[in-house]
Amino acid sequence: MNIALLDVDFTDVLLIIIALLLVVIVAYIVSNGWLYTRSRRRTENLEDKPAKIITVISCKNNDYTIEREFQEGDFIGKVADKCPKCGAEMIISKIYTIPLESGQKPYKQSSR
Amino acid sequence: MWLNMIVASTILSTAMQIDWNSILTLIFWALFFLYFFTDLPQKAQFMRYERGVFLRLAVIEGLVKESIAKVKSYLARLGLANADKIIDSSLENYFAIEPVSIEPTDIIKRLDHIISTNEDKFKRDLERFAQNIDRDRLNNIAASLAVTSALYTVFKILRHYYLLGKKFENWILMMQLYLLLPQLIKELMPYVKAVETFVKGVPIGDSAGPIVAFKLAGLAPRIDIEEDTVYSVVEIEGRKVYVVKARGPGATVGKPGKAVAKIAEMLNCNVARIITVDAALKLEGEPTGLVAEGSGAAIGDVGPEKIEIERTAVKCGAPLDAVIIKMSSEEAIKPISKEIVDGTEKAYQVVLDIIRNRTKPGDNVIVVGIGNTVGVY
Repeated sequence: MNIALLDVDFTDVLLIIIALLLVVIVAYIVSNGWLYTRSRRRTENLEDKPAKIITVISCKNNDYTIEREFQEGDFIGKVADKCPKCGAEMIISKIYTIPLESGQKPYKQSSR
Repeated sequence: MWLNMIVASTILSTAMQIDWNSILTLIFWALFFLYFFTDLPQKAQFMRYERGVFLRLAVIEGLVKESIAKVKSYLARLGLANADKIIDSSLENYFAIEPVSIEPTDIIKRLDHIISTNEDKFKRDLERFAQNIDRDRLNNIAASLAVTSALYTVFKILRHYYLLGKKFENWILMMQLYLLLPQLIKELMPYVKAVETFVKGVPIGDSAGPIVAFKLAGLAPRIDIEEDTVYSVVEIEGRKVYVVKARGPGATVGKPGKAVAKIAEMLNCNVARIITVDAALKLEGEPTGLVAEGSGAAIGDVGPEKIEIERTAVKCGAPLDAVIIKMSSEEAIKPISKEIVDGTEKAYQVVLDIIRNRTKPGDNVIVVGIGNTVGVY
């Protein structure tokens, strides 16, 4: 056995341990901070995801449906208009929100 | 000059070579002593928690202010001059003290009396402030104020524990707040959006029950039966169906329990079945809009309304069905999502199946759409 190997300076060992500890702590702080920022950004995205409110208006005879953006004063059961196909009353049948995906084009009125 | 610098650096390096050993040992032992024999780590942790709680409380205070600003702007839009007075009064007043529970006799009646007194007082005061405002808008104002008041109460309680923890250096209390606040902030954020929702009159997740009731009743006449509560009579495959819901489209939950009791009394207890439809909290991992069917009264009030439905069902010997549409607590107060709307369609089909398969033609059936009827006729 090599005696020189056992002849290790305590200060050097301590220095190496402290240096290693410092590296580990700094790495932990940096990775933690990065992960926190990422998760926070993800949460913020979830929270503030823009959504649009859709109003679905259906003909009483179920032959025509129109979808448009919600307007203040809309409510489910409100008689909204006359059906362009049969002239019967059209009633707001549904109101719901859907998330707007990034880069989505502005809402266009559609009918079926 | 160069010579001086070389000499100085030589002296410094020699000094450093000499001192490294003792300095490191000193630092090691000092840290060892401070860490194991003093409260310094706890103090440092306490300071960190205190800062964290302070910053997160500021976020909640911001939510309260945002909520108040939204209500204020709505009241100003309606032309109400005393907006500040209404808001201040509703934030601090209208608390209800729970009745004595050590003596449970007639506790429900006492609880109902206290709740009704408080609600009546609030509505009367609101009517006094907001004259010439229609009932639906008045209900929307009341709901917006209730949400703002709830937010403010949560903020006040959290601030109380924060100040208490700081005053007595209670680091366990501070740590609990520090760990709890991120979740609470996430849960409180939808409340601010809820104010906007009530102001605009958009249906919320909790409106799922009234939406199913609307699907059953359609535009059939709404007959007043209790305060802010209506019923419609429709015929479904030979059965007479009494559809009960809160009076829409204003934001109110009505008094469905008392309405069911009155209808049963009106029918001399000739009721074949009572079906309650309500939004229910989903467990984490369950999909939104999931419909489930069970037994009992699906209603989430503190007791008086639920017990009325249960008592009526027992008195009339009518089976009590519960149909629930699952959603998270956040989704319940946010504008209704497509998944929940799809869930209401499924719930409607389940109710129709119950009526078709578990009652006979000629039977009387009561269907109750429980929940806030904002944006639903």
